[in-house]
Amino acid sequence: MMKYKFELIFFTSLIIIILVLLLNMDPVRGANLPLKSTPAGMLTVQLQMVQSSLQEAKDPQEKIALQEKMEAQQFALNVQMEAQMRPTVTLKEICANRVPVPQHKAMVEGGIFEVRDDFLVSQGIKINNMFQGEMDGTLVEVYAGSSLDDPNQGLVILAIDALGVWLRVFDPSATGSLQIIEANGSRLSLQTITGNTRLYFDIPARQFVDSVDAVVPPMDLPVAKDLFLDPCQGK
Amino acid sequence: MVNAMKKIQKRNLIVILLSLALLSVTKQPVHANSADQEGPPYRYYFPLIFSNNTQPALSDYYTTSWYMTPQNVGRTYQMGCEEGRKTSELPGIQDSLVILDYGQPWSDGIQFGTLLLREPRYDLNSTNDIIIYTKNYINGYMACSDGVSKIDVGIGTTNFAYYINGVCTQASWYCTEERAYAHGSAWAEMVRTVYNWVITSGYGARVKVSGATDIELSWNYAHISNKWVEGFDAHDNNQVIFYNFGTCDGCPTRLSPNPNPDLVYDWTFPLVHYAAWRAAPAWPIPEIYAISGINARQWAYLSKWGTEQGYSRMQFLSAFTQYQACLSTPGDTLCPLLNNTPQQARQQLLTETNFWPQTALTNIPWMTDIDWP
Repeated sequence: MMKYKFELIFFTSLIIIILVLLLNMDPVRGANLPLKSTPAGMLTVQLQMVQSSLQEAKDPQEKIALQEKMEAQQFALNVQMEAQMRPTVTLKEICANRVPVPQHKAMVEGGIFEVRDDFLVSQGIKINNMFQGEMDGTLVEVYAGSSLDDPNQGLVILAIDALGVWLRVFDPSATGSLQIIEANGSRLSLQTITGNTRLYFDIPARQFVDSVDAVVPPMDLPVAKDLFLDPCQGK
Repeated sequence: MVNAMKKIQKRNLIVILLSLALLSVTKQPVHANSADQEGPPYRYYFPLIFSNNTQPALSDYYTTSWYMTPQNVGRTYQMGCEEGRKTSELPGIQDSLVILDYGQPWSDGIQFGTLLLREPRYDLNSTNDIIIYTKNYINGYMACSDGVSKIDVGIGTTNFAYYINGVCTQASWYCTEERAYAHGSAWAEMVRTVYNWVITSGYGARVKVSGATDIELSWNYAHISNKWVEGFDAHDNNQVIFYNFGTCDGCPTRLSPNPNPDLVYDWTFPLVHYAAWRAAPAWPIPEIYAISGINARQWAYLSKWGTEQGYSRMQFLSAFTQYQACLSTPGDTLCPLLNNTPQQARQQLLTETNFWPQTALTNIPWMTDIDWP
């Protein structure tokens, strides 16, 4: 009798423990999980935010503005709900909807040009002038100048739009702000704006060199970023 | 003797099992993650280790916003596709925000638009061009995403004008109230145009289009910057909004409180607060770059200042970061101090807004981080 009583209590307790563990696998919920995105949808969340703001606002002007905020979000929510009732757009339809992209920069005659006064100023760089030319059928630009924080730190920037290249190369001698004075093929002659120092930049090697005829190996160009798996190809 | 020992062992086993069963029944789940709790003050459960420099959890989803330059405007379809692909790689439905920052306001006297970042000349990037680039971004997203996730695309500009010693130069355009108002109006109309295209294309269930502007106090006067806001407001038809992903340069914080600060140019607290929140179409997603946490403290203090004037608390939908942009520009000397990860920035902003009950937020739902092409 005692034996059965023990087994009954033992198995009942075991079943309770297993059931509770199964139903409550992660008792400290959220500790190891990322923050939820927003199950309700952001538009609903934003509407709730504005509604709570409306309750707080005492300024009549702000109340009007909050009503307008709500109106815009409600408009978007209506758009969303109406679209959800229609058939989903197919990949074929999406692919047919592509818009031809205008050529941002036409291939222009090569040479040395001025740049706009504020070019790269917001990025802490002062550019004095630029070179533009075609290499292997690709438009290449080089900008010369210096860091705004340290005008002695000369630099050039190599930009190849078609390949997504934007490379900053600092003048190791750091003797002043640079400007381009001559282009010999793919090698640029530069000097500091004070005219004290002359140096050269080799575009294929992407580095400063000591003389106009110094030999340096070219660097491989990156693969064009256009080579990606497009789901619209063949559609 | 042996039987007695066995009985005691059995009894002990039963007591242990019953205690365990009782414990599991009575144990209620606790919500350690602040997002799962109803609101502040949050309850923390030990053992818990606090660190100001935690690495982001890989599963925390954030989008990539973009500086738009001549290098990437021609490949916005691919960029949208890349963002869409992320949703296919993640479980569940993602709801996200992306900002495409097209640079400073500009006009050639005929059309409005911008000068792209990294654009060396004065070549206008017109609103017609921006419409095409943005449409292709949206098409890319739709073609490559999971078929259910949602995105809000913020078409961005800035309040930047090139001043020397506080005077607008001949090389600047965005220097008068009239121009700012007209540009804000044109921007709202452009945003509506793209949104209407989204609706007629059948994308409305998953795509929303908004404006965006990086209003930085040190970049332009308040009386000019806020005319842009007024222009946008007057032409948004209460159908579109804009995200202010700007800064509060020089703003005080709870560590050095000052309700009436002397800010750069003609900026004041009421004017910053208006551009980021009190204007009808404005929603703040401020730059929270500083590792020190000062940006989060500045914006939280501005929100607190607002509540003291009878305004509602600011609702921050995202912190805006430049973590990826800093990785792309290793020579940038300021980056080591200004490269919060999206997760760090969100936590800083949540912590600071929750410093006061009247500014507390339960969640900052989005994360977006800008990058260079």
